[in-house]
Amino acid sequence: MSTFRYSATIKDDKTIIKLGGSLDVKTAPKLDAKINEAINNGSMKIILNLSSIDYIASAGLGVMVSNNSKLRKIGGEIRISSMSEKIDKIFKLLGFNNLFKSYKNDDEALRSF
Amino acid sequence: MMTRLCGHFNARTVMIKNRNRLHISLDRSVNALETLRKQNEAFFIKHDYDEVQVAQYSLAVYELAANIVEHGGSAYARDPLDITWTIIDQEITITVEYRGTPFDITKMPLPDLGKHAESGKDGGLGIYMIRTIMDVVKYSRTNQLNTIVMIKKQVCGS
Repeated sequence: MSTFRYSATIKDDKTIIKLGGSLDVKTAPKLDAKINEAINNGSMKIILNLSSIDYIASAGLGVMVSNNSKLRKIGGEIRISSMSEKIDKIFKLLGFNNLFKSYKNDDEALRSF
Repeated sequence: MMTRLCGHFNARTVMIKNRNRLHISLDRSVNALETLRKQNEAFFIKHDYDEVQVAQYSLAVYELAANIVEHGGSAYARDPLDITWTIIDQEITITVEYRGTPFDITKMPLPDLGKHAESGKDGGLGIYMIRTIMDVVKYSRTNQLNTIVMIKKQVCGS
């Protein structure tokens, strides 16, 4: 399992946060901070690129859900791009695919807004 | 039976000679959860489960352990978390034992995901994940010892 890492890219009024490693009890607060940094910088449309994520525990999912709910109330949203086949299958098994709009890559996610 | 100390994560792995059984005794700490995840994944990879199965079973155990670390009761923080994996006739049984406050996860109502998402709550999905991934979840308590047994039936591996 690899170390959690993240980077953010701003495209107009949207922010792409690329994540890698595991989203769990330890690393979820870092994602929360990164999302809130984007919001504080004026970005309400956030794309989480999950291409290099190998594990999402409920702590990580909770951060995604709570921030998505907060953004949706003010006209924004979190959308997902580039999920691996493994994470996609687990999301579908658990019904989490209905919680977020998901796209094959960043470009599709950007155009969807 | 061999006992091996797992580095600095304060976990002791007891490797039982039968390749279909693994027992770990863990400290109740967030760092120990990483050890748990590694041991869990290694066990299932050794038995040729595919990556989705490995990830699912890892999640179920991790979520339960994380719940116990966070909510198991501060008075019991120094007590270990004992986890045993067994595979018999393709049926996986994971038993988690810990001293702590009583908490029957089988009695918690499962969230409606849509309403949960709207509410914006950031917790409450761990138990949902455990009870969705595993076919059977049982809880019992004797004196101060809580026992949770999770079973996945008839899964292909080796």
